[in-house]
Amino acid sequence: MNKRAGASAETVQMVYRTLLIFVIAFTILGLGAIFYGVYINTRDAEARTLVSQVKDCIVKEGKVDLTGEMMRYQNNLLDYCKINGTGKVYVYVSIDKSGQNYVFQHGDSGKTWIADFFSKKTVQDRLATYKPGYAGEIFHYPEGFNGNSFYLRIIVEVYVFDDRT
Amino acid sequence: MEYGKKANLLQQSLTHIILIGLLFGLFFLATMAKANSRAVTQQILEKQLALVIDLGEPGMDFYVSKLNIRGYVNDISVRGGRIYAYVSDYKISEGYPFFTKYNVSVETTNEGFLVKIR
Repeated sequence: MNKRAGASAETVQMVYRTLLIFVIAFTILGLGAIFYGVYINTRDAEARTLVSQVKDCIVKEGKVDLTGEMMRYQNNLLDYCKINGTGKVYVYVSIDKSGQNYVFQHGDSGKTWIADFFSKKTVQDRLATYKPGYAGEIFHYPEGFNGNSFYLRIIVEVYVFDDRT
Repeated sequence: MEYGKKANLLQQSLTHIILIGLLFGLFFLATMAKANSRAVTQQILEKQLALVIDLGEPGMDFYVSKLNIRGYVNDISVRGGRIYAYVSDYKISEGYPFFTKYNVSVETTNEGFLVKIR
């Protein structure tokens, strides 16, 4: 008698446990279905593409004209380059030419971490850091132009924002 | 007596293993369904198109067939610097932004869409 009672109590307990496991599993599944989204990240590729496009826009046949129209676009460089659809990027360009430094930007630098990232780290540190959506490159033109030995260094850095935020 | 206990333990273990297998299968199928959902295939197509446009040069055209590996493409359009693709009758799209200094347009043909960069 006692043995039977024990066996049926065990069965009830097992059914209860099984149901509990299924309830927990379906809750996780339901929450996952609502909140989990598959996100395909292409921001790194976009950032690298934009670095190349910005460099091609600034440098024409190995020359950078820092006396002309470009100087009027120090805070909206991509407008000078006529590149559209750039609401989701931050571009930082630093040009060292003949001992002088010129900085060009485009986009929202107001986000705290962008300000921190670009002001507290050196270029070398930034380039060595992997951040999704960030790409940067240093271009050297040691020969200068017209036979003069001007030193020209261009640093182009791009951060593509996450379009979900 | 001892034999009965062992059999009981084996039965319990087997039930647990079957349960774990069932739950694993359930989660696996759910993840597969999510990864192959229309929203994801649409996202992939939009991002692929945006990347091609990002790298595009003027004079370049590329063709997207309606019978695409990602599903049947109902429509592709460009509005406000974003590319929108509608796949397998999925009617919701936020589009994906691209950057280019050229004009991008989409021409619809009987069998697909011709994206032109000028």
